[in-house]
Amino acid sequence: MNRFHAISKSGKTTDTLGSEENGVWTFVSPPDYEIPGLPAHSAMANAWVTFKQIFRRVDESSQTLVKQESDLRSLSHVRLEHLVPFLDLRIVSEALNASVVDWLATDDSGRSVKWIIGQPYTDHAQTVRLWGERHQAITIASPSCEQILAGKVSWLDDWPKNGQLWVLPNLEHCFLRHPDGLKFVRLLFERIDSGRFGRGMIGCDSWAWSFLQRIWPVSQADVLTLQAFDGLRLVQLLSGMTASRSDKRVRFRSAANGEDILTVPSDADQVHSEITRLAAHCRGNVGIALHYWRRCLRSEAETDTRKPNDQEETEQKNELSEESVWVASVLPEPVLPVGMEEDSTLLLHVLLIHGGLPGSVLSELLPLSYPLCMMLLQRLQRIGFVQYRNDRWSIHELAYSFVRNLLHGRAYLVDDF
Amino acid sequence: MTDETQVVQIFKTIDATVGLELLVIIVTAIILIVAVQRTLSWVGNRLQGKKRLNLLVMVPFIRLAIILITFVVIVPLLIEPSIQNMVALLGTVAVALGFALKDYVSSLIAGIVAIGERNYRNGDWIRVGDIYGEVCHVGMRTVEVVTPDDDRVLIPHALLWNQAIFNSNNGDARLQCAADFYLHPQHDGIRVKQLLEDVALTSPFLYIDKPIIVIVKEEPWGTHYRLKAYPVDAAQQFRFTSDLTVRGKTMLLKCDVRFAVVPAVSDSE
Repeated sequence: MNRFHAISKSGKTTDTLGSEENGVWTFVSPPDYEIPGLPAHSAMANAWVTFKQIFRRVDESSQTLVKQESDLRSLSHVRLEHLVPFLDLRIVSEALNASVVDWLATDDSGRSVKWIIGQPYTDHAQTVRLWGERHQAITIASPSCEQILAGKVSWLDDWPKNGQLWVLPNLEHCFLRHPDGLKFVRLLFERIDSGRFGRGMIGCDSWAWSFLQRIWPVSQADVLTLQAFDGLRLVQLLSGMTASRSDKRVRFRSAANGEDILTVPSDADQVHSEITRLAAHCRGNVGIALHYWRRCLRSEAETDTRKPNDQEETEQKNELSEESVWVASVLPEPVLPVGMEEDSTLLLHVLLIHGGLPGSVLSELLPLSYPLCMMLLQRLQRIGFVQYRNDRWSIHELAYSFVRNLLHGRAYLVDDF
Repeated sequence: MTDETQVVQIFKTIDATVGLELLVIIVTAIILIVAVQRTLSWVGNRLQGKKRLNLLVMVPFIRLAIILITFVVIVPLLIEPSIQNMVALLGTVAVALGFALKDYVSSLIAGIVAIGERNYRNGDWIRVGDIYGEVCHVGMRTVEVVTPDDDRVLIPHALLWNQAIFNSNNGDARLQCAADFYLHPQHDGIRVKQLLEDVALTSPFLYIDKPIIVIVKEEPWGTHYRLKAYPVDAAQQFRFTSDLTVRGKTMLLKCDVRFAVVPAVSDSE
């Protein structure tokens, strides 16, 4: 497992765990989640793009820009892994542990369960699982969809007894939005509230949480969520990730105007507007921000093979201690074609509410036949809206922001983040 | 002879310049009205929910404003705008219209009242008599309604004077829908009520922040359950009601609840 390095505000590289010091990983109560705002000019630009989308579903201007950047190529997986490695969730679980240490130390039977609400793609389940491993807690696997629909509540009878600590990492996989699919969670909430299940931690996706709160409201005092990543946090995280893997000075430069968006290492405490825009676009969701960041990174194509002259040799020497990575100016995002909106919207919504679903249960949850569901899924997969992973269909990371805006605009139930 | 002179005194002499001016003003007003109606309706229909309704509601107001402004600009070109002239002219016009185009004028006035009182707006779902549908255009004389069968019906505003108009959503993006279930009287009412509430709660069309209500009424032939809830968008009302009915029926049958069977021929026969 990779060790994570974080950079403090002073630009000094520190070995992981500086989380509490630099505040990159912080768990807060959901009302304290601060969605990052846009700079005024970006807000206007976004409003203009939204307005244009009313008239034209596919933004042609974005295609023009991509064409201008056609000289650049995407980074290889190896290089990407060096520049933006995947999150080491042990650090997140350490931050979580720091947030619940007081709760764990006290013996308050009235507040026996902590609820960890994760925004999509932040892998709250693994964070909770790792926290459980640290405390030798029993990990409870979620029931299958068939078990849920059959209402086999014997799953609840196998709950750890004798006050043993437990974790349930995926509450979103313990219910189905179906009259038969709520029996489990109602019983679960009831037994937790009565204190019968002892002490434990439950991880839940923010969309499922929004729905479940309409079924059984839980006191906010026992709920925690990862604080939003604003521009500064994102800079600290990205700098730390790059610094941990690269010996060179790395300049992330805008492909549109050549400006330095991020330089690693750097003593500067400034956050470039592009990073602020990225944070705002992702509403502070670090998982999505990292996906966008990875997708936007480009390198120059190596086309020039002639012998270098003296001046070029000097430049090449500089390049040995410094490397430039280009950042594409357009966030790669799919757009839903006209004519497949209503049923697709229902499908996208149900996938979000359940944190992904197997295709076989979709027709039970939607007023659509199984073949129609599969046809829609295939079409949505082709245009980059959904993906099939771990036997479940889910929303693609890069489509999430669009889908969330779409659902919010149509007054469907959305998450609080 | 004196009357003729007076009429001539009221009106200004209309030469070619004034005529052209009048033509330009009227044509401009018509183009503006058509442009506003088409543009706002087109943009509005590409939006959803409250934004759509807010935009569509503006159409008749803007049209009325354009007509009034045109009228105010034209009148001084035609007559000397003194009080005496205005009273004489409007009196004459009123008498003429009152006899010849009574119903037409009544609808026009009712149209202005409807716009002012906001009895129905674009995007509202209204029922007038046997006609139920979505208001797609509030004209000067008629309101245009599209029924669920995609029929376009023109209803004169004059019906406002003597007929009740049912507005299901009254400017809101949501309207209440109801699904009816007629059950055999021997069943567990509490269980059925809870089951129907869950049917609504788990509908993909449900607007979750509005209440779900189940009304139960005992009838001589059985028990009538009425499940009421709100869909996310008013346009989904038929799919929503169908979804509630189909899934409600499936769940009730799964729980061995029997449906009421009313005899096709009454006992007296």
